[in-house]
Amino acid sequence: MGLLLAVTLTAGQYATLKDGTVIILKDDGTWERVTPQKSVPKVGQPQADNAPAQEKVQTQQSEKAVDPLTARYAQRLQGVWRSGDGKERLEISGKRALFVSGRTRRGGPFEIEKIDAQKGAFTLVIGETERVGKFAFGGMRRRFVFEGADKLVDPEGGLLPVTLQRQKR
Amino acid sequence: MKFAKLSLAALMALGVSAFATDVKVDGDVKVYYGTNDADAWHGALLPHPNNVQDDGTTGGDLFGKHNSYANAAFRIGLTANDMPAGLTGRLSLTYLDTFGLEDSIVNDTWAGNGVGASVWFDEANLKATLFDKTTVIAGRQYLDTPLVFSEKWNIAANSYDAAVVVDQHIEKTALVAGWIWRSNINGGATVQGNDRLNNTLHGLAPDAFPAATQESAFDNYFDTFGKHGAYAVGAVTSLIPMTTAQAWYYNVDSVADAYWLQADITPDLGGGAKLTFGGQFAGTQVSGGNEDATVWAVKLGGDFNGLKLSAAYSSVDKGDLGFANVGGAQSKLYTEAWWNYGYVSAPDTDAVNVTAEYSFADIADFGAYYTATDSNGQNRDLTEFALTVGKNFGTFDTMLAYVYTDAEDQNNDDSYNTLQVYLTYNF
Repeated sequence: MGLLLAVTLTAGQYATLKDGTVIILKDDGTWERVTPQKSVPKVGQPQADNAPAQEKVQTQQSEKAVDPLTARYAQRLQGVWRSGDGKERLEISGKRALFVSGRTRRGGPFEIEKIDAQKGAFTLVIGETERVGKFAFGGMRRRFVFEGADKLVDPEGGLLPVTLQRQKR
Repeated sequence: MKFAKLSLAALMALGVSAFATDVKVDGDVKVYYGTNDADAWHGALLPHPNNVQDDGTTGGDLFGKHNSYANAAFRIGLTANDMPAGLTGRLSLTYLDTFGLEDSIVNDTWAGNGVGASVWFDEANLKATLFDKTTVIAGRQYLDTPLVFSEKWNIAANSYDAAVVVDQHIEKTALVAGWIWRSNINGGATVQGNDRLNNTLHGLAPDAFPAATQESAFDNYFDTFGKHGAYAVGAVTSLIPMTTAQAWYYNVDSVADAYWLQADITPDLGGGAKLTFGGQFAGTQVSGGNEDATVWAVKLGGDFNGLKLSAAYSSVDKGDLGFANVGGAQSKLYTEAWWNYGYVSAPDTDAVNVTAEYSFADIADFGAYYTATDSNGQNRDLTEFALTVGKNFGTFDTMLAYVYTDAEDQNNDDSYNTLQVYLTYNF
């Protein structure tokens, strides 16, 4: 969503989606849902006769802010990735992920953390349920590095780094 | 004494979490159920030589209590990163129980040598990075080497008390050295039950449980390898393009030596297709034994846009010792069966395996596996055909398996059918 909007809008602009939702694109690349409302003049405020009521937008509900870099990494991850020996498979579809290794499958919502943009490295967290202070509960996490557009490398995935390759559609 | 051990473990758990700046808690709850229609079969807990059903009839009965086995397991793990001196700590506790199912719908287990509850640490280790690319892991841990590894097919995996050093200073190469003291053995000897219940009440043989059953099950059944444990050294490299090669040597003090060589070549055909050529060669030698054994195996496979196909052949010659995992019954041979372990890796055995797997997006994962062995007159010929379907629902994972087994040394040389249900909730 964020990337799509970035192509067509600049920061501070509003857009109406197909479902009627009005959003504003923010400077940091995130977006926020807003509700158009009729502007009512304050008491005592001069108003021209027959002047149309001005529309202004007021923030109603904020989406969880996603920084542009995280959004870009999430977008790059979309698809099916497989290790060369076929033992591991990672599927990213929308906001959900599924990791398969042999007879083990872990699925759920995913998050991207600890991005090192210079190295193209990040931590993929799948299915985490709770985070309290220094404790993170549930889920699984893997540290990956992008190698080009179609390779994901986990340097500590095994005795040798594990490389997942994007499956061609 | 046992209380003291528990206290130390608990202390370690507290210490690990107290010093770390980043603590991950993970775990799962599993319920596994299996049933077959064999007249005679062998479970993890007991042999069932001649089934007599509750209604007095004899013979196999799919879904019958006397043909079924089940367990439930709860595991919680804790990983503490960024501890002082750059250490990473890992603790994992497994609780295995039959939850009284032995009174109602089953008469055997997947793992553990008893009904009732067992609790033990399956992981308790510290990891340190030395010299940048040299890592040491010491303590109870899961291992993955060709002849010493943790088997993940069961409701509870076997682990090892070991110290392992991995060096990665050579590009695309890992050098490994390990000392492995002891392990629990996957299956019936994964852990010892507490025997809280009276065996007779449950229709189980009185000798089904060891005498010292009132002891804590924390570290029972972690058996030492040989007199002083085992040593292993290995090298794994991907320096050759499209190829992963590995070489391993093992020495179980005063018991046996073994080596394992393997190369897997995976050329990319483009368009989402990838081929796999594999070769294995290994040998075992029992100290004071009569005959060394060797095995060779080849595999041809491919991944065609998610459709995985492979065919493999292996041949073990005569010898004193086969090529199964020392901590269980499974092997890393390309021909390993889906369920009936211990056949393809036995001495004087030839085997073939054909595997097909496919994942239908948003539907399920499907697998079909065919394995056949020729034991050259040892009356251990096996034909196995397995079908699996697995589906993930986020944190809830399910799998259903059907296994057709026709083995000369099972069910009075008659074929039988097995159904298994695997339910896992990850948290």
